[in-house]
Amino acid sequence: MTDRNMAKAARLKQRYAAEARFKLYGKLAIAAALSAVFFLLYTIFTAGYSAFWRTQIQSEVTLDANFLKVTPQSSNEELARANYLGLFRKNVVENNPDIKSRAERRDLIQMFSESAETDLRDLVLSDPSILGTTQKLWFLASSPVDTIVKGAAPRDIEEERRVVSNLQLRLLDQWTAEGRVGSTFNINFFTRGDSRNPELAGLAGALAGSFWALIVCFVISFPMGIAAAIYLEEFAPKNRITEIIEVNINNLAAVPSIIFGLLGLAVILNFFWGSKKYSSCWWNCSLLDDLAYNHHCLPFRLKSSPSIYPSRGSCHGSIPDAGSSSSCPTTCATRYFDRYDHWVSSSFR
Amino acid sequence: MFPYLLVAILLISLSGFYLGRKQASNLRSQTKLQSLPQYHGYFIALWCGIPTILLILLWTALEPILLGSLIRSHLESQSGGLTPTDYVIMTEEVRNLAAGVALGTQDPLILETAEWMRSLQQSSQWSMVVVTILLAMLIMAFTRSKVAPGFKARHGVELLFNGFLFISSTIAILTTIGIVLSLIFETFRFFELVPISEFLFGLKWYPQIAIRADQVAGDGAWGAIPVFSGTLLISFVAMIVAGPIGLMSAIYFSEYASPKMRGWTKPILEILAGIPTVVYGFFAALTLAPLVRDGGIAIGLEVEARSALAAGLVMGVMIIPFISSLSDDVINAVPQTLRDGSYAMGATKSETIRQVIIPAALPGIVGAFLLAISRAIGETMIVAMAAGLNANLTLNPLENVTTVTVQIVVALIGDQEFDDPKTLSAFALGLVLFIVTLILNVVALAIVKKYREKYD
Repeated sequence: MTDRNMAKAARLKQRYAAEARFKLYGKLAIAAALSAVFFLLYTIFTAGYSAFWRTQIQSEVTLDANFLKVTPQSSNEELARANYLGLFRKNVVENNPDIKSRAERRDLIQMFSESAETDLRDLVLSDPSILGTTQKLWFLASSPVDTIVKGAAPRDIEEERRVVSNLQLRLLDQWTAEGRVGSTFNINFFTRGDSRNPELAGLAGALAGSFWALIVCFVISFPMGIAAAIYLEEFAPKNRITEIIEVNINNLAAVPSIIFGLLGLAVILNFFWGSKKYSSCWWNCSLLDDLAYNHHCLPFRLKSSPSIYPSRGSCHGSIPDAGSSSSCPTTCATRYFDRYDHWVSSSFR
Repeated sequence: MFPYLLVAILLISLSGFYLGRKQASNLRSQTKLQSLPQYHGYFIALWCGIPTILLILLWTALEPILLGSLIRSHLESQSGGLTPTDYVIMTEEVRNLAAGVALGTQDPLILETAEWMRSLQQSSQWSMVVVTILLAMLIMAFTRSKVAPGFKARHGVELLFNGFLFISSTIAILTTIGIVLSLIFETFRFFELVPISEFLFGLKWYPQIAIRADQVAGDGAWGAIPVFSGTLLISFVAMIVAGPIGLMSAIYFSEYASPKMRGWTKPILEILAGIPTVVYGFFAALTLAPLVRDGGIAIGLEVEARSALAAGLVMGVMIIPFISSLSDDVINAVPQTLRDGSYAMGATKSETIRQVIIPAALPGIVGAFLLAISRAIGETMIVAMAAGLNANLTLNPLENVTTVTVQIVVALIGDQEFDDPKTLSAFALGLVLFIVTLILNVVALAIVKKYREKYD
């Protein structure tokens, strides 16, 4: 063995080590990216799933016809106008005779959502013969109680900083022990619109807004985008004009969406007499042009488009925000977020 | 009225098609035709339908404008001495009343004008029906007289379709022109109020000014440098995250990964590109920002709640699939012969990648990075939710900075007038953003395209 061979072997070892290191960097990069995906999905689902459930509290209610000043024979209008909120409050207070002071009674009533009133009214309207009987009914809990039950707000802290009072917490524990606190699927989340009461708020308005924005976009951009792609692929002569169009389409798809929002605000606002609904078509139109054209041979590529610009159309944030009057989940989320943010900053102060 | 009229026009077109085809096939039984019978039918149907439908749309668009000015001049002649704003309000009231929205107006002039307007609308609607149907009939009669053995009906139809396709493809150009014009006009209005030198070189961005005469507020400062620096800072953080991770995963995918591994990891990675950006925003603001802050405090650093670091990290995660897809494409486009040559010289795989493949693919990779940067600069939702609102001239990623897109959003969701400098500043910022991203995109796309051609 000469020195030269030994040096060669050492050098080879070094090179293989460098090779292994390089491969490891690649693996680490992929591991980092994948863990980002899983962490993101995990936080989104764990933070979000509880919105699909709502807390409800069982309570006994005597549907006192004298208090409501109606009879089972009253007309629907009279039945609808009766004082159900008062009836509900009276029942809740009577069910808890040990609570005497005004402030404590208010705390007690505030454990229930305001929807108790409409729930009782709908119940009586659907079957007036129920008047005068005593029913065990489930009522929606108010949102502070809901957050405590779901563990979204801390309970082991001093009263001033907690979302519910000591009395409410004690009652909640007592009722839970009695099996009077339960949770069901939060149907409100899909059937109701905005509300000042978090437990009653839903996505219905936002979903309708998204749906219409999507339909308008689709009706306009789908034929136009496909037609442009067919023209450029099959008919257009290869000259300067088509080259400009081609470059233009490529660029438009990469223009930030907020610029389209500005365009919508400046031009379409003036054109359509203030109806902001149409502006999101512009971005989608360019996007579809690009998807269809840029990835030549469109029937195949549309199916297997190499997701550089995937599925951003409807769920993209800034266009609905800058140029839409109808609501859509993204806008809704920003609004909610703004509110949440104020809430956070005010509770820190 | 409108839908019925459309249906009527469609029916006329349809009958035009059948009549024309029938006429042509009768001719065909006697002599040879230049075009097949159905093309004569299509020719008639298209000429009956398209111009009349365009006329209907034009009529519907112009009617409110014409009626509005008519009403306005009527109101002006009937009652003198009011301000222009009063007339605008009165015209709107008349319009609402005529549309059946009663607002409890008692003014006899407005009630009477609304009645008049309703009758005008009625007659306009009816004359539209008569005119368009007559027009469709006339065109049908004329085009039917054209049906002859030598008539090139097919050419006409093809030309119409070609025209439609061409117009569709020019929508992109029209959109670009629209963007440029609207941004430039509004930006000029902004620079009439604020000197351009202050906007481009000023170091203070404080867009709060009084929107009522009696309001106590600052004078406003419109130096956009801190806004630009914040954008660059966040994009820089994002690229620090996305650049190495995206490039290394692209290299691993294209050079090392087995088809099986590639088959399941790549789609998962591309989930990242399909997540709506508003979800990233939530993630950044509610999960990562507190984590970054607590982590910073634990090691004795002062981190603000809305740090550039948190927003940049999440934006980086969003851009990873963007860089890895594009780089993967360009690395795969490097010819196999270059690799084979390198292996034949005794180079290891990593040496081949570093000394042969990366230099060969470099222009494409640079293009991918430029596109990613342009995406990062224009990203809105993440920064709108997770970055700050105060323009802060700093290079410290632990501090709170703002971006161009955030300032556009902030400027547009207020109660200001449309000619308020705060609202107009959104357009000036938008113009800068548009120019910067346009340059990045043009350069990047040109590089990528040229590179692809080199090896194709």
